Amino acid sequence: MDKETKKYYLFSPSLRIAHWVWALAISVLFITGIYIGNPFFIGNVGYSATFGDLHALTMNYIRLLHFSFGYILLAALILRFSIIPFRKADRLIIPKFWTKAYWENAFDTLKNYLFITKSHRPYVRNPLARTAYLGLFLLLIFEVITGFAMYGRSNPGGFWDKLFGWIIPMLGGEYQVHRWHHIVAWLIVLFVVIHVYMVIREDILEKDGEVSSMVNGNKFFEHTPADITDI
Amino acid sequence: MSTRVVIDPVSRIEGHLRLEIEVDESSHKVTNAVSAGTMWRGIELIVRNRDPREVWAFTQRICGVCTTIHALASVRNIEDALDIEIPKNANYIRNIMLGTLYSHDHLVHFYHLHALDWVSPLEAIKADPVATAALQNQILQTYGGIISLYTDFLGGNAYPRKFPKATPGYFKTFQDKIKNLVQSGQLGIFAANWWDHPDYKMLPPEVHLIAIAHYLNMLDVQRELVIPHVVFGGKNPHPHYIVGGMNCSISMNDMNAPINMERLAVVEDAVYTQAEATNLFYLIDLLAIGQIYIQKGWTYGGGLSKERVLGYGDFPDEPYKSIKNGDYHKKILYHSNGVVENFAQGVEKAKYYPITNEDLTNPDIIQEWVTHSWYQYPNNSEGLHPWNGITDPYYTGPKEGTKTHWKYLNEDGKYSWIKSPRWKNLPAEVGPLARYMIVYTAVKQGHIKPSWMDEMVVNQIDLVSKLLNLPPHVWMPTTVGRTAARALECQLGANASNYFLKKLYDNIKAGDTSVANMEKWEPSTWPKSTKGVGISEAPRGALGHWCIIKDAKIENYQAVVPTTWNGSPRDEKGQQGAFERSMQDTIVLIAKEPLEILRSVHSFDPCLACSTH
Amino acid sequence: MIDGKETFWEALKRHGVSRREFLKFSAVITGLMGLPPAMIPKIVEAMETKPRVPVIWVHGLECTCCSESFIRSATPLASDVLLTMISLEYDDTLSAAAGEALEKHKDDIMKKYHGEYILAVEGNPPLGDDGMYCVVGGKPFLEGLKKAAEGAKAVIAWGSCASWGCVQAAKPNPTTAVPIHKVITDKPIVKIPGCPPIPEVMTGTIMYTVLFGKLPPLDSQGRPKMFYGNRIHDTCYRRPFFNEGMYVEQFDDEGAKKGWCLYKMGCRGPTTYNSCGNLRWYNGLSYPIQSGHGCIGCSADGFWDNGNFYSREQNIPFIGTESNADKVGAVAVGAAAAGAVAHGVISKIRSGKKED
Ligand code: HEM
Ligand code: HEM
Ligand code: NFV
Ligand code: SF4
Ligand code: SF4
Ligand code: F3S
Ligand SMILES: [Mg+2]
Repeated sequence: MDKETKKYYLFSPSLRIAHWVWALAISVLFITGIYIGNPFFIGNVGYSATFGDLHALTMNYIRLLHFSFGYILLAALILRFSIIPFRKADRLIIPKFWTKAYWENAFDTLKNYLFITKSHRPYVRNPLARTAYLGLFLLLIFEVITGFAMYGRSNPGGFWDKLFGWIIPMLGGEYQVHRWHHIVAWLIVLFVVIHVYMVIREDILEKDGEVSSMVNGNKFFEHTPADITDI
Repeated sequence: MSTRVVIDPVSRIEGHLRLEIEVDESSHKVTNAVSAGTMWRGIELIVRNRDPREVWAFTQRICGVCTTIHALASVRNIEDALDIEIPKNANYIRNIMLGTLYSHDHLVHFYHLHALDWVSPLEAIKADPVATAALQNQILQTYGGIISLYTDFLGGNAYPRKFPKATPGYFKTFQDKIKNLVQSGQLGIFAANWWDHPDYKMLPPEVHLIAIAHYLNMLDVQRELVIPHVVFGGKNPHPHYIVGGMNCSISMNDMNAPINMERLAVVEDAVYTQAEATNLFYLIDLLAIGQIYIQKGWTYGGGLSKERVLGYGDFPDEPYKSIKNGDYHKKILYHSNGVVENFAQGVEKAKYYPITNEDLTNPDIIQEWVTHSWYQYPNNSEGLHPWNGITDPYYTGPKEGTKTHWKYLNEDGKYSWIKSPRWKNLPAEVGPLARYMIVYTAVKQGHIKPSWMDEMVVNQIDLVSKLLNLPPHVWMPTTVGRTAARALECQLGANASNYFLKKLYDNIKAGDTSVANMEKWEPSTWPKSTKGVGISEAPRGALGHWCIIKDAKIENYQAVVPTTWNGSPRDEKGQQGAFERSMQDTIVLIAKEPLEILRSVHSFDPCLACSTH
Repeated sequence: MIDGKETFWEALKRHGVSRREFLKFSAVITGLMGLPPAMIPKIVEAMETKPRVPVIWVHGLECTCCSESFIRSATPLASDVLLTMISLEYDDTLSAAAGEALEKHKDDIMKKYHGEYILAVEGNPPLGDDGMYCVVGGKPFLEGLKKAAEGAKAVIAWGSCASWGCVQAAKPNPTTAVPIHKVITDKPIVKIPGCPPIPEVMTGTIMYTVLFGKLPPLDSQGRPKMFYGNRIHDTCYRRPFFNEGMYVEQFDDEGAKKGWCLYKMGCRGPTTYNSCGNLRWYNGLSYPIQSGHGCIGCSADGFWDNGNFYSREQNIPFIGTESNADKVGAVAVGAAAAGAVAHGVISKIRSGKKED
């Protein structure tokens, strides 16, 4: 750090663990999910079904992976949400739409991203990012609900069916659930691409240790962030 | 004095049909007859913008009674548009399925939809089971000659599994069932009919008992006749098809194959059941009942069939390149592709016109009118060829009554959900009777080189004429003749199943197991825009589907269906369709209980879901 | 006899069925309905004490294939259902009588058995043009349907037409056809979807209802659990091939001959509830998948509009039919990545200027 910066401790270990777990889970879920939707690469053509189990990369394994990481993703989400009550910094995913500051800061950031202004004020987490993260959480919750709803229907009346089965008629039948689960999978990946870019961009331009913050929990600011009261 | 009598709903048909007749009470003549299709679903509009490869499933749902036929017409239509030639096996399998449909649909119509116009359970109770058993033996003797017209190409099974039981015990069992039903006071489906009508006294009680026993017996057997659909298409009603051939791949090496030896054995068994049910029950019963009715002077109801009948031809012996370019008509075995006029004047005097590809594609030959139908065209006083066809609903209401509570329909205005198809601006009757007249005329006048199917038709007609001691032009264009032609065609259909199963065996034996041509499966291989026509001889008559495909989507789709022809309302020139003409050619004894009218209309096997679609 | 009405057992007895045969029959029925043997005495009791139920079967917009399917039933045979289990008092497809006589008989039955008869509905009512796309007896079918439902003890919705709307309700639904639960709102309705339903599912439901005097246990969609409890995919004999990734890639290819999974041919088994996988058609003879064609989902709500039957490609609604989700998704992600790079370059340049 060539300039004088102050270190801020933002991300608790639980948060960081949750983050990396879902980064991994989403990657696996997306790849296996797309494969489930269209099994383009076939492993065992030529074997009989009876013996196919002995060979790798079957639909069975891909689905097993998908469902396993579905459970893992669910666990990571639960972990992330369960820490919210205990620490102020863990509430950063809640955009404060009701405050004037939210809108002012959002415009400030937006103007910068659109190259209208050359820089934006420093933030612990800027409002646009917060909104995007909230959106992402909603999409992940949607995937979990629809995913476990589909999963649960192999045992109708069972635990998962009872818990999430209600979504199926709401979306107009199980075929529609597949469709929306599939579409939202792409929306999540869209988020990931933009997110990774924004994170790296922030790191390079603001030199606030953005990337490493998800490893060690710390960010570095030259000036006091505008939203410092949120942590 | 003439009274207007309404029959609505007409029961024992498919769908919703309303009849209105005016009967002159002194002459018992029907002076005016109105028939109206009273349902419409808009399937031609629903298939628009869809993938042509899946349209068969939509059109198949036009009807679950002649199930499969609209799927067949549709895949033929799309294949015609895309120039797809299907493999031999697919052609044979489709023909087995068509033969199967004839045998099932005709048989069920006779026993379960039509029989109660001729026979009554209440008369059956009066029969003596011993005399009935004797009579059963006697009619088998008298009419059994017809059985020999069935040719067993497959080589035969050990002995018939299904044959009429001519024992008093058998008939007593059924009679007791009916008696109990009557005594319990809960007649169920037999309730409330005009059983006191004098016509039910025309036959001896023993004939009634045979027919009613077989009504119940065949209710249990009919399901076995359609088993080929279940094997080749996975279910019945509504078996599955694909554009380009059939889905049921054949392999003699895989126990999981859709078609292997075991599956074919199941089909073969059903093919023999078709033969037995038709030969030993249906034909015998039909001839016994029909002969008595004809002898008692029941030679009316012919109507339009005396004047003009039409057919398209079916059962391509081998795959054809296309329908549009004429190859289909070169390959067919059932040469009912023609129009025959004035058959009632004798087969020598009848006029025969062949129907070929050009008659289907020429915009001036086959057209539909909506002058009296609840649809509108930009110009209502012209007819439209199906490629330019328009389906635009326009409901107007009745002559008397309110828009939603009819008293009488308005035959001077619009009065039916059925359009009016016409051949060169002329109405025509279609169906088994039409096909039989066409083939008979074509063969007797030497227009065609008869196939085995054509020959069978001619032999059947000649045999029945001999039995009745009447020339074909007298007994055929009648209500009884229409019912008889259907029974004869049932035998033809059952025989076709047998013939094509043999061909399927032979082809598999020769090493060909292909059932689908997938070269043009992908829309990227299709022309940007194209048209097709798909035809078939449906159980109820000539069926045509026409399509226009643009950018791999259906742009226009029109179906002109057998019951659309037969049940059509009047046209621009006031010419009536076959139902109306037949009713006006029927004598009604008691105006308030017009049993004769039901009998004549039922002889067409009306299908209203088909007619309006 | 109960109230002068014949019980099921009495009816059987009258048809010459012995007590032993009757008990055997009851055991078979119990098995058919998937009930444990412990239930046999209950079934026997039910048959001995329950009077025969009158049934009124009406037809709206439909293709009559549900009726056709019904008469294909083998266990029980349709003739047994019609002559000994129920009293089919009205059915325009099978009734002998026609016209006014038939309509009057229906009215009489509705009065005589008010609150006791079962109303079976095949097809559905169109609402467009005051219901005049389907007219019975000169009145809209809708009117007759509502009237018949009034005095019914319960309503059976035959097939996908009555249950969901089916083909005539497929886009653009020119007649505004609606499933019957949209117009009959105050009666228990049991849905037997399928286009058509499996024969034994139809007769099995009738038997249960007659024997126990109540509707079978239903799932959240109103379908009998015993017949619609599982996805076809979860009961399909081709499932091992699905699991192993062995798919038919094209009709009539090697996989097709070997009977591999039809998933990639658009099979809707994974989202369709029906007894096709276990009961199958014709008492186990076959079902669409066994004939080499994917399930088209014929018992599922709105199956006509769930996209091409031959592909599992998921299209994005609202964007039109060419909007395959994977293609759109890949393009969107690609564009986002490219946009990110461009944005990054510009940002870098501009922030470089800032430092000057
Ligand atoms: C599948 C991939 C990823 C997903 C779904 C994801 C998701 C998220 C979410 C939801 C947050 C908000 C965390 C919270 O407040 O609980 C977040 C924050 C963050 N992520 Fe990721 N992330 C992914 C990949 C990455 C990668 C690859 C990096 C680094 C190279 C990264 C760096 C960060 C950083 C630095 C933050 C904190 C940003 C801030 O404080 O404003 N993420 N991520
Ligand atoms: C980021 C999260 C997730 C993504 C990106 C994702 C993606 C996908 C995709 C693309 C499909 C294919 C859908 C189709 O075309 O039919 C799929 C299927 C599925 N997913 Fe997910 N999914 C996610 C989370 C979950 C979760 C949490 C579960 C819960 C167990 C789950 C369960 C399923 C199930 C049951 C299927 C259907 C599998 C089948 O039909 O065989 N998914 N997923
Ligand atoms: N008319 C008619 Fe059909 C037949 N046969 C169709 O093509 O019955 Ni439903
Ligand atoms: S549900 Fe299907 S099969 Fe039954 S009547 Fe409707 S369209 Fe026909
Ligand atoms: S054929 Fe269809 S239902 Fe059977 S396993 Fe494959 S996808 Fe599932
Ligand atoms: S198409 Fe229908 S018949 Fe069964 S396998 Fe699928 S639900
Ligand atoms: Mg039409």
